[in-house]
Amino acid sequence: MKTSDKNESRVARRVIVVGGGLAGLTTVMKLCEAGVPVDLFSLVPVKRSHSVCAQGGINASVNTKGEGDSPRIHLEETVYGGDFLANQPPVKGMADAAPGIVFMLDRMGVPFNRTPEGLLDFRRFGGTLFHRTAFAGATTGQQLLYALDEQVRRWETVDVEDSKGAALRGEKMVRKLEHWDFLGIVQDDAGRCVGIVAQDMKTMAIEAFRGDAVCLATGGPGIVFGRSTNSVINTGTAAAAAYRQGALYANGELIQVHPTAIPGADKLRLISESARGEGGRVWVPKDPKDKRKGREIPERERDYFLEAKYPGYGNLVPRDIASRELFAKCFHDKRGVYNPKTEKNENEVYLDLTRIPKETLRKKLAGILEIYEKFVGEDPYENPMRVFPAVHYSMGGLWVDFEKSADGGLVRGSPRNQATNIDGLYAAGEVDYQYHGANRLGANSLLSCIYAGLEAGPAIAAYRKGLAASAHDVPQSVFDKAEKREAERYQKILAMDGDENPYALHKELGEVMLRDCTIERDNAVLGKVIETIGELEDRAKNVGVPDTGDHANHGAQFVRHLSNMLVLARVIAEGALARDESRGAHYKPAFKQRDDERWLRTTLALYERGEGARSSVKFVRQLDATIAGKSVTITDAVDTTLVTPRARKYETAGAASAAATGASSADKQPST
Amino acid sequence: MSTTRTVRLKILRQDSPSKPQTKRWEEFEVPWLPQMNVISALMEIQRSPKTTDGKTVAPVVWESSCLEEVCGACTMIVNGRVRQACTAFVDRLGGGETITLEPMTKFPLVRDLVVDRSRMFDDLKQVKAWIDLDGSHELGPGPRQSPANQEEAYPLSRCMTCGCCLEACPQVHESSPFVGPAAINQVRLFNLHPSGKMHATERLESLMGEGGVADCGKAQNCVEVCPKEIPLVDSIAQVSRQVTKHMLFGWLLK
Amino acid sequence: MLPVGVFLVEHLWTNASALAGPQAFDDAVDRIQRVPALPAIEVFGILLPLAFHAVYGFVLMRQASFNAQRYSYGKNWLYVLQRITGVLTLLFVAGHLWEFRVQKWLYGMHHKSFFTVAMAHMSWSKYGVPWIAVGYLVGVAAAVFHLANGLSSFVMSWGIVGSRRAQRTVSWVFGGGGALLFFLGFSTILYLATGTRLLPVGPPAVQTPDCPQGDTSKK
Repeated sequence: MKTSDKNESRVARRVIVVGGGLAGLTTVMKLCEAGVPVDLFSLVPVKRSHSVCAQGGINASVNTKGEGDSPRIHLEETVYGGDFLANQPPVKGMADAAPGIVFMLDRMGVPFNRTPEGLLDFRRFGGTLFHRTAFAGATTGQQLLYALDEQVRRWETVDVEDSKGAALRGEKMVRKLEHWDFLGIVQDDAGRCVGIVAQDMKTMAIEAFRGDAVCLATGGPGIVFGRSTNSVINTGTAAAAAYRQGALYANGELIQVHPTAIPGADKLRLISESARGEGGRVWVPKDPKDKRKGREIPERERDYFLEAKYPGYGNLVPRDIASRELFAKCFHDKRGVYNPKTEKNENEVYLDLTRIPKETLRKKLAGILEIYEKFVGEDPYENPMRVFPAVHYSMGGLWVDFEKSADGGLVRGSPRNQATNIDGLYAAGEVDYQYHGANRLGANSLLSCIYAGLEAGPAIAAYRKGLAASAHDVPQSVFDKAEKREAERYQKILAMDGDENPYALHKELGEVMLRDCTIERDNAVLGKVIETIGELEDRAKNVGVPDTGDHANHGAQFVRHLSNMLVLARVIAEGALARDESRGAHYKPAFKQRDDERWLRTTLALYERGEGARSSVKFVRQLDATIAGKSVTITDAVDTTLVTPRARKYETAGAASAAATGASSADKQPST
Repeated sequence: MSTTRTVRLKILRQDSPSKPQTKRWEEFEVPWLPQMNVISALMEIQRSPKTTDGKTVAPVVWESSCLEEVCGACTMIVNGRVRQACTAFVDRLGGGETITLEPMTKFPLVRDLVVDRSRMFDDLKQVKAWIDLDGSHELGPGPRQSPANQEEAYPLSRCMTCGCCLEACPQVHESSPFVGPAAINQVRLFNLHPSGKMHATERLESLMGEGGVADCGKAQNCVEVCPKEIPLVDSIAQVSRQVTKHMLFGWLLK
Repeated sequence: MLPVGVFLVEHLWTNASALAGPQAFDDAVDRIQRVPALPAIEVFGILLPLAFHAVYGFVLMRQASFNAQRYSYGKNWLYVLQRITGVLTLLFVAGHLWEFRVQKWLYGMHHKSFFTVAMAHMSWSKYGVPWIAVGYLVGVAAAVFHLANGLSSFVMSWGIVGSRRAQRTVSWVFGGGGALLFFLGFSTILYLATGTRLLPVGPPAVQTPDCPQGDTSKK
């Protein structure tokens, strides 16, 4: 009996998408096109999702610059940039789909920059020598998010139809529930995900919702590190909640640090890689005590250290490498820009755009230069910008499945794509772990978010079609129980009257994570980090809830998010401790080499309760799960069937694309 | 501690829309930080929510997300003027004096500095601010567009629905149906696009009735307060022109 | 709005013929009186549009809220002034109509006596202040501002200008025209009230070689 795709009860039988960023919106759009009505939950109005912060662009090998670029090269450079930790079929699927995605966005009205001939313009980004990145000024993420938001808004005005094509009164294809906080999934007796429990952040009402499937598209956990380039909403709370309910978390330790951001008291603001893609150069004064202003230092007294060390890719080496070099320059060599006021070398290097024509800057980078000008109070058209690395992106996230096609890509519409190990629970976007391995290339995140959504939508539609029984036919008691569980949990928070302030605890957590768990990692130090996390977990049980109000109570909400952040912090730190090698963004000076024999594998973390208030991580090599009704054995093996792993060498031009272009033609690569 | 520099904030608070009796001003003093913006001051209050008269209170509630002025969430009235709190720098707000924070007045209050701006998103539905896509399947490249067209469209497309323009507009208030500059600007944006144009009249018609573009009072505050410097007045003028044309000649073509 | 605007310009122009003396003014008024179907024009061309504009204005007023103290930008002040001058103009027009029109209808005041009555009213003063003349000045100023600023809004409402910059340019033109128009009205009032002539003669259309001395204004 297949009732799930019908709406005979005169009530729309919806699926649930949590998160309204690029991945969530794309998923919703695809579901609507497949005729599946959706409840879209979001912590903030979807137009304010973190995707707006993406600046530089979106990769697609459209090859309009006569460089011979192709999806095949895009695939290779992505897995090479990710130090071969990514499963290659999904990456192939993504690279192949990329040109179509950019064209689709173009049709949606994204104001991409144009060539004089009216075609899409492309610029360079890190880890490649090709012009592969389409962009809309320097606010590409914002423009993409808006385009998808508009398409989903259109679906908000479309009626749900029953199987005979008659409109269901009052039911629209998309129902948006904004300012709702995800609390957890609802599972039936067999463990299948049949809905969620969420809290209305205005009225504080806690409610369970039915959904034939649930897709988490809730973004990354950057706020675990206190200050990062992430929006303040990116606490990772939804992923942590699902992880606590049994979802597998993969490669948590792989956290990308972006090389160029503006330090700030509340946030570290990103200065996009596109600044370097358009010709920006990174340097420090050769004399570490040079007191002159950046623009007054003559050319020969500047140390363009990235170009010197990596002549092949120069300022556009992948982010993990650039960040490490910047960090070393400031921390180990004490060669950061000298500040005569404080009489020391600050942890800052110059990112110099002043030699680029102002008109080019205005047309292509105005968005980020405006941010620099507003937040630093200095004119970046005239002065080299002062920047330092900042936590930016999580390559790790909820483990998701894929079904491999004959040509090595993905089977579009397979219910296994983007499925977590909990049947009926899907994940897409930064919250999944699928596309970037150990390091993400710039401008691949917008692509992976949208691509994951393009896969998740049809996958969920197929899953729903194959359901033996709809979540809408599950007994109400299942939902009542889940609702009660969460309501009790919330009441407990409201009753907390200890001495600790949750915001102050978060600041402590952030400082530890940022200092000891980012660019350089050391096992002894990580041990201490994990101990500190444990202590913070203990202390978090002793917080006084700062707010007991019955309306828009952000204080109580933050207590909940804090406990979830502590859980993820442990996953990140313990994963880092376990992985005794250096790969991509994960770097241990004591284990400088990549160790494919032992560590070319996915870190798979399962939640367990620890002592007292503490959580505990159980790392597994394999796990049995039911996905789309079928038994599957999940393993930590990485599918490297398309590009054979080899050492990364960004010193040599074309090294990242040598297999696809033929090693001999490496010297024929376009160059800067 | 007495020698460290501090920042004083005076904040208009209210616990919920149904409790107008809780409307009150509270004053806070927080340690000064370099490059401090209003958001970091509010974050300091969260960590130690005590008023200047020593009372421990619930932390101030505000809305924020990106903190780099691209999401529009943290819009509020800072020292009497509507703007984003993330780009309101303490040192550039006039030194030494108390900073006043109030919620926007043109939207229903939620709590403290949070208001409900959902009407702005509903307005976008009314004016059909989207391209009528056949579907997201692969249909090849979009229409070619001149760089000049892109340069006209891009600034319009940076509207983050923050509500500054509505807040400052004297024609927008509780009892007025005026849709406001933000939605009108979206009509201009989509009517510019080669495929958006195909549905231009639907959008224009949505702006012809009550609360439409004719309700603009030409006070032009919108363009003065727009944080993204969107040429909103130009958009209103352009859309007015399209509406006029459609009104005068549209019926002849029917 | 257009008929009312045209009428205001015409009216101030005609009245300015008073600068050329009673004879010229009477001639001008005479010419108007001879216009065929004058009552119909007055009612349908002036009074009804004016009434409509007034009613519409009040509807608009209900939609307005003022915030120029908080957002103290030039255009915002103009927005406030537009509404204030609207009310002032309406009051002024009502008074002005009472003074001449209603008297003419009800009490058979002949249009030949307009000049004398106007001059008498204008030069009337109490405590040394010619209140009626001042009232006229304010009224004319309000009306002219309302027209000029209204026109610069109008060109945008109807999409005649396509940008803020174009509107600004056009505003200068309307502003200049408004200033000239006000000067014309001001001269007429000043002349009627004090006999001082700022303009050497009346408008060219009603130029007469013999300008009488304006000493009747003294009391």
